[in-house]
Amino acid sequence: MNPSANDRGLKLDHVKISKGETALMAINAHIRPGEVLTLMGPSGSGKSTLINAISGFLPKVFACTGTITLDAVNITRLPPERRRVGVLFQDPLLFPHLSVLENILYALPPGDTGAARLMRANELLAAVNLEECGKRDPATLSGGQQARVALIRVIAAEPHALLLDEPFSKLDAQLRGSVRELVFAEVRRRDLPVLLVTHDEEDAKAAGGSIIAL
Amino acid sequence: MLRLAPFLAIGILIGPVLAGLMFIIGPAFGHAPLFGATGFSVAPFAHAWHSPGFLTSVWLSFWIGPVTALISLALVALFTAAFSGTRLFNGALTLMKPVIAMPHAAAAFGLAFLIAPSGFMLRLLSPELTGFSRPPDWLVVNDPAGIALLFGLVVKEIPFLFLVLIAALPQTDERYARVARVLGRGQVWAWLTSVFPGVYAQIRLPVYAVVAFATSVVDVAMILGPGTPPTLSVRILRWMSDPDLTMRMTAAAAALIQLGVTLSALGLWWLGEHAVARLGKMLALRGYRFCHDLPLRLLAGASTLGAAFLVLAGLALIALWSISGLWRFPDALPQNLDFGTWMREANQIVNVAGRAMLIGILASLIAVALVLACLENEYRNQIQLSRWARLTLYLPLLVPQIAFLFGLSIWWLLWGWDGTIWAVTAAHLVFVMPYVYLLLADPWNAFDTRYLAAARLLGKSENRVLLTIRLPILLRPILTAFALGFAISIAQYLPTLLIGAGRQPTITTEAVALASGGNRRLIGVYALVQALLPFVIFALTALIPTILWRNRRALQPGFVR
Repeated sequence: MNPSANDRGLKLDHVKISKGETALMAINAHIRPGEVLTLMGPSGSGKSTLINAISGFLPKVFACTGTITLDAVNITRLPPERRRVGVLFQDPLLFPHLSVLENILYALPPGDTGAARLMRANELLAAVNLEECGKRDPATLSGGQQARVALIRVIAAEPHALLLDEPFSKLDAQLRGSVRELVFAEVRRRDLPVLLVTHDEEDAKAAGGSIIAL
Repeated sequence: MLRLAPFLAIGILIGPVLAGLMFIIGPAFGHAPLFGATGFSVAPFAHAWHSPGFLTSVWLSFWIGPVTALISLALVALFTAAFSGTRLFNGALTLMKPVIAMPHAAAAFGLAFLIAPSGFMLRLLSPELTGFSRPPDWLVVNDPAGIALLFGLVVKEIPFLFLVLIAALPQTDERYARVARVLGRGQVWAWLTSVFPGVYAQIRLPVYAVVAFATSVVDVAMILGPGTPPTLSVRILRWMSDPDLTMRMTAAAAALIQLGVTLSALGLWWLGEHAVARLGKMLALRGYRFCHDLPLRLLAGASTLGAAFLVLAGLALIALWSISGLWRFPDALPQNLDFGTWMREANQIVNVAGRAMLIGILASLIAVALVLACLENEYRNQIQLSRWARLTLYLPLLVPQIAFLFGLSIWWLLWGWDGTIWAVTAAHLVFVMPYVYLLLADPWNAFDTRYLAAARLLGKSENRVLLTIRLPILLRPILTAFALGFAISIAQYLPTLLIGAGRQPTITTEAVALASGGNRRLIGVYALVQALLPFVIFALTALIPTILWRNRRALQPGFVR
């Protein structure tokens, strides 16, 4: 039986993050599939710390209470690789020792034959008009191309939720709009719950969901 | 498994040093059932003390440590103050790297060939300028005052300290020097008073290692140092190899004295450190500006570059001697070339160089694997190395080799381990590991760990991410650390000799053994092979990432995003 509609999506149930005695942030939210929740705030307001807590990389100096569930699975204590949470970072972080295509293949879940995986990777590249670039060194791609590869690499791993950690902030103004549109189109198509962390009003508007200011 | 790595590493760094020191206490006080003596007596100390020229040896070993460190550190600091950020500075780095890779013994032989009365320098000047048609009767190499030894040590430590200092520079802000200049200080004085204090705090332990090394070095002292009386360390080695077993107890007592000498030299350095800091601060605060520093800059430039040049020239000279035929004084070049020595020694060379390579590759491989395990453990458990952990890393470099290796050989003799290639490899590991760690830690910690986060979130486990992302991306520094570890192993004379119990001859023990013979063609062959082994490994390991990552721009050296 599928989890009831009410359980699906990313639930942050009374999540509190503190460092020593100081409380950094508290949040209680339910992001349903296809919804975008935007967190806005200046640097140092604990936005990235929340991303770390949800993806499983909270440094030991922080403490996190509350429960994080994704599609009815409690992921609060799971190791990052089993959370099925995708993260787009500020930088594309394409693995520099792998080709563009190998970066995608790395992300595809195991199973399937080699040929099927190759086809799937090429499909993803074609979806962002980069089918010609598979063999290339990621360092030779333009900034916009790298951002697109980073997006399909996250998608390739078939995440159940997507966290966006200021993913557009390092792109120049012209590119930012088109990459942003691409990302939001993709997450809506895949019906993913999305948490967007940003300090850019434009990003928040484009996301179109509810906004929490820290 | 990974959690055991740091304990294993600490055991390797501390265990042999402590056990080695413990095992000489008994023999030093006359209790050595192994040599047929029981009871307690201070006779070994008395015997050492009353041997002819003992105090001269002690004094020589004491002063040469701090003086070597002082001269080489001063020149390196002045050179950096004068030329940091210039093209000459980067050029100097290129020149220094091969000198660092070169074993001490080979470098010392090369210098001896240069400066000896029958050496290349006098040949160049003779007979036209000097009038000599026979080598003069000067005691330039092996002089009783130890000047040649000091010279050899300074020349070899300059490149080492230079590299250590350069590694520390990024952690300080060189803009302070500009502020100091705007405040009216001369170029050198500005850097010394604003940047150097921070840099020195970073490189203190390597400088201490230079002090300790110079007080107790054996191979360089056998090649360039005085003969009668020799340095304390050489004297101890002679007692250790004396056929009369009771002399081993004298050696043990003298080894404890050596420990005291080295610790005193370090203490003197520590006092000097504080005195210089106070004096410098006083002069700086009184507003002295020292603007006319051109002669100082020229001196620093000439002597620092000169040091590297001399070692490399010595290497060329070694090569030439190994293939020289008739080469009479004062001819600048041999009359004919002769490969006879190479032919005659070929079998023996293959044997001893092969053993040296096997030991070097094994020791360096183990060291790299263990260091990587430690670093990964630090990363996974978010551990920061404490000051004590850093000191542990330097322990084998601060305690004189001759003091603890003798005890270690006694211990392993009791266990029946001595004289095996495994024991020699284990002893090398003690000295290889600190350098491998120091060289790998910086690139490891500078790694952008978000790559690892990205890979984990693509569903890969911690171990998988280590193997498929971090290690491949860090392949170049890992291979460089391996090559350096190999070079350190090749340079080890004393561990090979003592732990190998003479049954594991390597290119290094054979080369040093030729020092007293004075057959330059033979020395040339062995010293050249010893010098070239590290270069070969450096070249091969540099080739691997170059080929593997030829189409990966972000993995080229010097790539900036």
